[in-house]
Amino acid sequence: MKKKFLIFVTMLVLTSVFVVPAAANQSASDVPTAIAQSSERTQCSEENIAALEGKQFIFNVVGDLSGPYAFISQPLRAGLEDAAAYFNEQEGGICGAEIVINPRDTGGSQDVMREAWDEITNADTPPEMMFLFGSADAELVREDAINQQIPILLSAGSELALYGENGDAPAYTFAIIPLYTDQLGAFCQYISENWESFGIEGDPVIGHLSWEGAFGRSTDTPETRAYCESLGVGYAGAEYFLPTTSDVSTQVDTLVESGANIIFTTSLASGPANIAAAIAGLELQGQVLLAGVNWVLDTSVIGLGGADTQGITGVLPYLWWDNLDNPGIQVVNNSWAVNRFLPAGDDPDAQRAALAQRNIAYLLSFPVIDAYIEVMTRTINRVGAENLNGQAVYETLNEFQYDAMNGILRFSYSDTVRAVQVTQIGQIQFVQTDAGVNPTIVSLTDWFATPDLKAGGADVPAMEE
Amino acid sequence: MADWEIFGQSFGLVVETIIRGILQGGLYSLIALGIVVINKASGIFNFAHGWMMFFGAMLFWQFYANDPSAQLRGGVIVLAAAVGLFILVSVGISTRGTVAVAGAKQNALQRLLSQWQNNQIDKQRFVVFLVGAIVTTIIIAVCVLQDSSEMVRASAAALIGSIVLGLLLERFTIRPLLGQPVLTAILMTLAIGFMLQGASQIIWGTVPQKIDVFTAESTRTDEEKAAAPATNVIAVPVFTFEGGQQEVTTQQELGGGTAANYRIKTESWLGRDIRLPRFLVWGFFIAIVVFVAFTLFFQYTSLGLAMRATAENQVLAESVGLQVRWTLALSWAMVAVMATMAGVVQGTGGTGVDIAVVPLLALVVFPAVLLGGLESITGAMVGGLVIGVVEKLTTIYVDTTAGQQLAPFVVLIIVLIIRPDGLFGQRRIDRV
Repeated sequence: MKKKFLIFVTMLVLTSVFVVPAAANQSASDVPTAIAQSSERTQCSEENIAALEGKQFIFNVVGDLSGPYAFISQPLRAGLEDAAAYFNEQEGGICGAEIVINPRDTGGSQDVMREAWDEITNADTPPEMMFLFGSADAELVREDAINQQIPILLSAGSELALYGENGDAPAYTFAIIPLYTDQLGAFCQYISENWESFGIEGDPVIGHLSWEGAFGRSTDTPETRAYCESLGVGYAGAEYFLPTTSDVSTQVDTLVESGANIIFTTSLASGPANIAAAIAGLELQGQVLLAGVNWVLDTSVIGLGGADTQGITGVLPYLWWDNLDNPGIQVVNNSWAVNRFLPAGDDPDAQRAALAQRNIAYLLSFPVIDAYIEVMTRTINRVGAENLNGQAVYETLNEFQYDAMNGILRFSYSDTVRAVQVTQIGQIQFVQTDAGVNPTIVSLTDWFATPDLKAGGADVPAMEE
Repeated sequence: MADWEIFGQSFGLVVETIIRGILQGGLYSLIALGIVVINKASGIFNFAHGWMMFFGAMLFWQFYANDPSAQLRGGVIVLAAAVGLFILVSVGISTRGTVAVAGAKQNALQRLLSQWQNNQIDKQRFVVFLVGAIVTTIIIAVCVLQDSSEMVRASAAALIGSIVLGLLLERFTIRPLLGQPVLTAILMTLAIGFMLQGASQIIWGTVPQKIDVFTAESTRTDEEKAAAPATNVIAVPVFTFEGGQQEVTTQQELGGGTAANYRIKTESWLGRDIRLPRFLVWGFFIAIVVFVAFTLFFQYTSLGLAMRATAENQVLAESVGLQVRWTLALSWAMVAVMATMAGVVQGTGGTGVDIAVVPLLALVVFPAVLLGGLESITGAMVGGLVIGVVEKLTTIYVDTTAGQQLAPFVVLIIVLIIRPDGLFGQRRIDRV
C-alpha cells in the first residue's frame, strides 16, 4: 500500500512538473475568421454531387508519424487535418463529400508499412489514392501499386520509386517535388549563371557532403556530374556521414582541400545544421557556400543552426511561408495561426511547439489536399462517381497540370513525367526588422524548368563509358 | 614538415585529424565509461544508456534555453529535497548495518527511527550527512531559483533530474530483478530505453534542440559587445486575418552562431593551423576528469570496492553485509549523471540534442567498450580514444562511409583475436 502511495506521489510530482504548466496555457484565443483563396477549381457536375451526397473521401496517409522524424511528419499530419477542415468548410470537400484524413503510423518499420498497405488496399472499398512521404516506403510498394492500380502521391524525390532501377519504367507513383538529381541540376544551372554574385574566389566546384544512405547518395550520380561540369561547375568529390556524427569539420576540410567551394548536402534538419556549424567553426563562411536539396531550406534547419544557417542556398520548388502576397500562402499562414499558434497563448513552450510546425510539411499539406480535390473532381467528372477507382485516378494524374493553392506547388505530370519539374532557387536570409531579426527564406530566381537528369534523361550530356 | 605527406595526405591534415580523433574519442570514452560503470557495478550491459543521454540532455536544455516556470522550479526543488532525503536516509543509517525486526516490514524512515532508538547510528556520521544533504539541497534550490546564470541553473536541474532518473530506474526496474539471471536485467534495459524514448517524446516532442553554449557571442569581449550588440532574438511575424490583414509578432530565441574553433598556431611548421571544435575539447576534458575520478573511486574507496563486489556476485555480496541495493542505486544515479554530461556535450555540437542522433551514439560506442574490456575503466577510456582516432583517420583515407563504419570493428576484431577479453578486460577462469 505504501509502495503504491510512493509511486502515486512520484507520479504526482512529475505530473506537476511537466504536464500542468503545458496544460495551463491551452486556453484558446479569439479565433479570426478564415479567409478564402481565389480558387480555379474544376466544378463538379450536379449529378455527381447528388451521387456523392453524404459520402466521405478517405485520404490515407501512411508513414513514420512517430519516431525520430516525427518533427517533420507530425506537422504534416497537422497540416493535412487543417487543410481538410479548410476545404471541407470552404468548398464542401470533394463534390460535396467530406474529406477525412486517415493517418497510419509505421514507426519507420518497413514491416508495418507492408502491413498497413495490405490492410488499406485490400479493404472492401480499395482507396483511389495513397499518400506516402518516405522514399523507402514508396520503393517498397512500388510494384504493388502498379499491380493493384492504386496511384501514390509521394513527398520525396526518389528516382527508384518513380521510374524504376533503369529510369525507364514510370510507375503509379507521383512526386510533389522534383527528383533529387534534377534538383542538383537546377542548382548547377543557377550557379553557372550567378556564381559571381556570391563573391567567392575561384570557379564553382561542388563537394558533396551528405548523409549515408540512398537519400544522401541520390544527388551524386554520373549524370549530375556530367551535367554540372558541362555548365562549368566542377566536382571535388563526395563525403558521407552518419546522422550520429558529432562533428563534420574533417569532412569539410577534406572537400575544401580537394578544391570545393560549394558544399552540397542531401540531408535534412540536423544534417545541414551540423555542416553549417562546422563551416562556421572553421571560419570558412564567405569562402564556402553551403547548398542543398529542398530540405535544407526549412525552419528545422534554421531552428537548430541559428545564425550559422544565414546564406544557405537551395532548391525551392514551392512558394514559402514568407511569400505573403500570394493568396494561397495567406491561407496557410492564417490556418496555422488560427489552429496552432494563437491557441498557444503566451506560453513560450506552447509557442515553440507551434513554431516548430511552421515548416515545409505543414506548408505543403495545403497544396497536396488542393491537388487531391482537383484530381478527384476531374476524375469524377470524367468517369462518374460510381466508376471512381484507382485506375481512373491514375489516368487523370497521367495528364495532370495544375497550380495548387495559387501556385504554391505546380504540378505537371504526363505519361513519362512523374515529378514536379519547375523550381526556384531560395536562400535563408536573416532580415533585420523593428522587432528583431526575422529568419526568412527568399526566392533568388523566378520559376524555371529543372533539367531531366535521371538515368537516360533528356538533359544528360553524352558521357564517356 | 609542411611539405610532408603521409599516404597522399598532407602531414598537417593528418596531425589535425588525429587530434580531432582524440577529442572525438574523449566523447566516446565518456559514453563508454557510463556503460562500463554499470557493468562493473551490476554486471549488466545497459542498452538504455543512449536514451539516458538524451533524457538528461533535454533536461539541461529545458533549463538552459528557457526561463523555467514557477511550477517547474518548484518541482525541481521538491526533487532536490527528495534527493537530499534519500542520501540522508540511505547513507546516514547505513554505517552499522540493519537489525531485522521479526515479522515487521519497515520502510526507510521506520528503520532509521528504530536504529536511532537502538543506538545503532553513528551519530557523528549522521550529522555530517544531515548537514551535507541540507546544504546541497539549499545550494541546488538557489541555483535553480536564480536567474542570472543559465549554465548554473541548467547544470543544477540536470544534475538533480538525472540523479532522480537513475534512482527511479534502479528502484522500479532493476531492483526487482536482483538475483534473477543477468539476461533478464539486460532485457529490462532495452525496455527502459523504449520507455525513455516514449516519455521524452511526450514531454519534449521530437524537434531537435541546440544547447547554445559555444556561440560566437560567448567569445566576444565586453568592448566588442558594447560596440555592436548581438541581435539573436528572432521576430517571427504571424499573419492573421480578422477584418483585414494584421501582423502579430512573437519572439523566438535562435542561436547566435557557432564560435570559431580553438586555433593552435602551427602554420609555420605544419603548413596549417590546427583548429579544434570547442565542444569536443570540453567533452574531452570532462571525460578525463570523470576517468580519473572513477579510477580513484573504484580503487581507493570502500564504496567502489563494494560496487565491484556486487557486480561479481550480488547474493554473496549481500550475505557478507554489503548493501547491494544502495550500491546499485548509487551506481545508476552516477551513470545517469555521466550520461547527461555526454548528452549535453553532444547537444552543444552541430547536431544539437536530436532524438535521431544522441541515443544512437551509445551504439556507435559499443566497439570502444568491447575493445577496452567490459569491466575496465581504463579500457573504456583507451577504447574510446582509439575508436575516435580510427574513425577520423578513415574519414580522410577511405572514400566511403562504409569503410569509416567498418574500421572500428576491424580494429575490434583484431584486438579480440589477440586478446579475447579486450585490451584491459579481466581474464576469467571458470573452475569446474
